[in-house]
Amino acid sequence: MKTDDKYVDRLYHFNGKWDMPGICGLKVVRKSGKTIVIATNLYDKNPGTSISRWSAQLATIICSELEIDPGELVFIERNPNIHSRLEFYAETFDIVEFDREGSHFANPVWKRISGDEVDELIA
Amino acid sequence: MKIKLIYPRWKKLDRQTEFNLPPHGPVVFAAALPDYTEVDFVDENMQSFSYDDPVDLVCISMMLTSQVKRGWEIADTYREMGIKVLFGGISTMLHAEETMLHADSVFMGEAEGHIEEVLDDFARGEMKKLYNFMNQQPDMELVGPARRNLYDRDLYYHKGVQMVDLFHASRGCKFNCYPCAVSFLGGRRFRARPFDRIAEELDTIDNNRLFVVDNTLAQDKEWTKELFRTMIPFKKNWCSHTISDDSEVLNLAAQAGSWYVYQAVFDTSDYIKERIKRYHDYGISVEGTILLGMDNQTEDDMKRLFDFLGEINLDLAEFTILTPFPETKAYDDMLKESRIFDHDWNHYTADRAVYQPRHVSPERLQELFEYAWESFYATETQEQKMFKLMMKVVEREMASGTYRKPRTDLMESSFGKFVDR
Repeated sequence: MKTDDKYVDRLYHFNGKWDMPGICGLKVVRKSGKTIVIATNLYDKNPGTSISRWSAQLATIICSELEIDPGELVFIERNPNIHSRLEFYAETFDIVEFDREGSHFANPVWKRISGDEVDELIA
Repeated sequence: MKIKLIYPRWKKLDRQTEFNLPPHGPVVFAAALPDYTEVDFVDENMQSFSYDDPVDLVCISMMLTSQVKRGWEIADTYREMGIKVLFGGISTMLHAEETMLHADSVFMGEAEGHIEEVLDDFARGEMKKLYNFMNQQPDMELVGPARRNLYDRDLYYHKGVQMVDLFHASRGCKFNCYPCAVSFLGGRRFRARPFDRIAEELDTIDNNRLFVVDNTLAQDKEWTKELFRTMIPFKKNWCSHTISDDSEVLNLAAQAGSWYVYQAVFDTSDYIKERIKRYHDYGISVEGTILLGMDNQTEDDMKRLFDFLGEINLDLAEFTILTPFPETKAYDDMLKESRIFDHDWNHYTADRAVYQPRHVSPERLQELFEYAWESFYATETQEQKMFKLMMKVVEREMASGTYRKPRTDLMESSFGKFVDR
């Protein structure tokens, strides 16, 4: 996964399930009172937990470390196209909505959105 | 310290020929136990046991998701009796949070170099609820040889013919296959056992037929070639998962005794056709593993795939239904889309739809699955095809002088039960 990907500005290291070190791609865009965080699954480049399995904890820690107001967070999970012959490795974006318990997120619910919608959000 | 090591039973697939292989995980785990332990191993698929047997600690080793509920049931009974229960193994790791509700202790990771710490805590009455060694993978020098002397050997025979023994030369997997949890369980880093340790273990196995259970033999060509060179002198015949598609590797595999491989047939491409032909060119038979219900399969795609199987000369085929096991991308995707409707782990047997497929109903997928088995084995039964594979290995063994006649004292027995020949 190249970090010059338009949805990945940096690699983000996190402690995942069972304290396994994980890596995801990260892009943060602050816009109109919202902070849009795009977390990208890195598949085989990630030695630990996939972000789908850790989205609530990941969103919590990202808000804490990057000083994002949890009330302003728009969390997008991205699964990039790895050019597999299997179409379910095609690029997908989901807005992940959480229940909020103070500064912690829980109970993720995913809603599929298009790349164009993501581009509009971060434009 | 008396340890009862239990491998819980599960319901076998209806369509599969019932061959009970000696379990691998428990005897690899047992090899990591210190000398002061006395281990009584029970493979519950083959043996019963009494809860009244004297025991200090019960260890439950689980490989399959369809074993976990039975494992929990056993643990609940022992714990009601005041006996401590430790869980480990692949499906323990996949279902750790739920398993903790039934365990005194759950072990995450690989036992070598770590299990003594657990037993020390147990001896002091201070066993922890969770031992998490997921980030502390052991030195591969410490692995094995597996303690196959713990098996009740006579149980793993069918009409006098010994079942294959399972063996592994590496752990971890660098690939990212959609339905697979191996990268979570064993890590993404390929970890090889030292060749002298591999040879040492091969030398201990009193069986000329093996199942090399490494996740794949297509991760590192140079290592794989050296593995096969190491195996050649032992004159074993073995089945395995995929082998690198490389002429030198396949040639060495054949010399080392590659008997047949499990090869995923996921589309109707020339690539698959050629891949199978190349195995055959080297005298290696192929059991196609065909996963049904993937998101890119319409009913027409599946039917085309069934027709294709008739064109590529598979020696055997095994059909399964996509099952979203925890810690897989399949699970993530299904969960996100709320497509999993059956959360009973006893149903996660890979022969029933527990989720809503993308293009067909679960009921239709089930029908297509049944049709796949019936159509593939319509002209020649599974038993007939397996007999051909057996004859192939017998011919090889006769040529190499390693053939062992079936045991006459077990001719009327199949996996410990009387059968009328």
